[in-house]
Amino acid sequence: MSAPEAPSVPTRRGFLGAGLRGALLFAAGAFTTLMGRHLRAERTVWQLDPYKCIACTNCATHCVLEQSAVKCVQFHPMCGYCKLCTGYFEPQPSGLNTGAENQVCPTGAIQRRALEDPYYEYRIDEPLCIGCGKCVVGCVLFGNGSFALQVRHDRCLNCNECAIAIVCPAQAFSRVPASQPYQLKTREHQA
Amino acid sequence: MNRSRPPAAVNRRGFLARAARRLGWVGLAGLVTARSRAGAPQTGGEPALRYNLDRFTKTDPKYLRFEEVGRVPSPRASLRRVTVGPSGHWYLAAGNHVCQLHPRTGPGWEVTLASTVRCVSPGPEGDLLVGVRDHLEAFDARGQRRSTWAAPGPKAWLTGVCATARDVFVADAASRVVLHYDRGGTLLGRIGTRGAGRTGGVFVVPSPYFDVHAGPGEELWVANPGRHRLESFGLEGTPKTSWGVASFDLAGFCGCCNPAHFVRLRDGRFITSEKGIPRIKVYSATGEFEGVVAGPEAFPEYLDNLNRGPVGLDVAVDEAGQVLVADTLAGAVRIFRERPSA
Ligand code: SF4
Ligand code: SF4
Ligand code: SF4
Repeated sequence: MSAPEAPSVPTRRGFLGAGLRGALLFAAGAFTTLMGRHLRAERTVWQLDPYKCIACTNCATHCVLEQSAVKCVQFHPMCGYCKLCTGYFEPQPSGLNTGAENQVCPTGAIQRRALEDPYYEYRIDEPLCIGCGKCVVGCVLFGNGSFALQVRHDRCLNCNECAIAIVCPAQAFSRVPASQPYQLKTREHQA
Repeated sequence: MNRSRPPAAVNRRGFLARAARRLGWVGLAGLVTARSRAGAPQTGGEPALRYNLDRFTKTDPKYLRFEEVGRVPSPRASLRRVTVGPSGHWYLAAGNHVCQLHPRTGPGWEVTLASTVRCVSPGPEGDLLVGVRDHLEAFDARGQRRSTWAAPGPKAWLTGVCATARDVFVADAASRVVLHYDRGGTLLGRIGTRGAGRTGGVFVVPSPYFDVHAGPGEELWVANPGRHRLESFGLEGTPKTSWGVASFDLAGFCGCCNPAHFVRLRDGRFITSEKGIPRIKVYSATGEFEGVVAGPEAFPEYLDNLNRGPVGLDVAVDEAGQVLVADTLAGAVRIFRERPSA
């Protein structure tokens, strides 16, 4: 029968070494858990809720980009295809034509095209749009509200802290799943 | 959505330039004397970027022909329509309900429907026709349901109804036609269908505001909001006359599509209601602008909240010739009386 081993005597160095190993193991575990969570959690992007937005003009002036990542978008299913579109024409235009003085848009970013009389189609030329929301006000005040501002994700840098979200007076900005990056308007909401 | 250019790079020079511009914006915003109520659109920013209606939102007092003399709160929330029956009873459509009340004796009966009530018309016997989105329901003078009419189509969006002793006319904003029924609910015809040589149909209805009124006489009046006109037809649908122009000036109808609602006084004059710039006006029996019942300053909150979109103010006329306005946001019927000097 062999004699049992004498119990090891705890030393200060051994105690510290074991503590360090434990801490390293814990940190590695926590890191792995966090990474797992991160990989599982869906990526999010910034978007604004068109039903909260009051078109204050901050979207045009506060984006970190030289030209804002926020643009006007046209929800065609909601559009009335009006001859006298209040998103396109200034109040009391001198004529229903494409003269710059008659247009609401300060950059001429809205294209107007005649369809079957008396209907007209309106499209946004996005590179020209500065996201000021002036047309949105005209459309929402009088018409169906088919013009709305949205963060365009082919431009947005997805900043950690969106510079517009900080100043938005309507708290319209939030992070949304990258798989559903737009907040569209609906006819049901209008009704 | 169109594809756009790639994002501009962020650099120090650009950042500083933007910071300087923003200081400029802040200064400008301080200078702009805009409306300051919470929720008001575009309260700051460069004037060129502001949608400016200021010059159309004040009424010259010389045009004010009526004055407000009272308010009656709606018994139910979400007031949408008001109409007056032959016995002087008011019928208020609010949410899913129609509430009968009398201005002197107070609330009467109430009926509840399965969905939002969109239009109401009393018949000459005190009976009531109530329109929800896609069909009509008929009630007798005590509020008992008598019948439910078939929906005119799967997409129907009924926005106006008017009953006479013989006929019922129903405005369907989805198909942009006025449906002509007999009192029993049999469809007799459609007014406003695309005729030969005409494109785009007769009625242009960009948003769900499309109102109809019959009488006096053998005459049907229909709002054609996308053409900014009121149009009359024979009861069988023959076009007769029309009047109205698109204009932000007081004499015209503003925005993309107005008038949203209208009614006639006993002497044949028209009371019209516009959305966008909320204003109630009076026109002669032949369509000449006479004056204002209530201007935008009577409904300030209607211009202030962009989240809601335009709200139409329904109008009715009582036996005394007073104009009743269904003020949705105030949750009350507001009563306007013609000024003696007018
Ligand atoms: S900052 Fe907010 S309220 Fe102003 S335009 Fe942008 S989303 Fe709308
Ligand atoms: S008015 Fe402003 S938001 Fe509208 S299209 Fe022009 S630049 Fe864009
Ligand atoms: S996240 Fe950055 S780039 Fe995108 S809209 Fe906001 S400020 Fe502009």
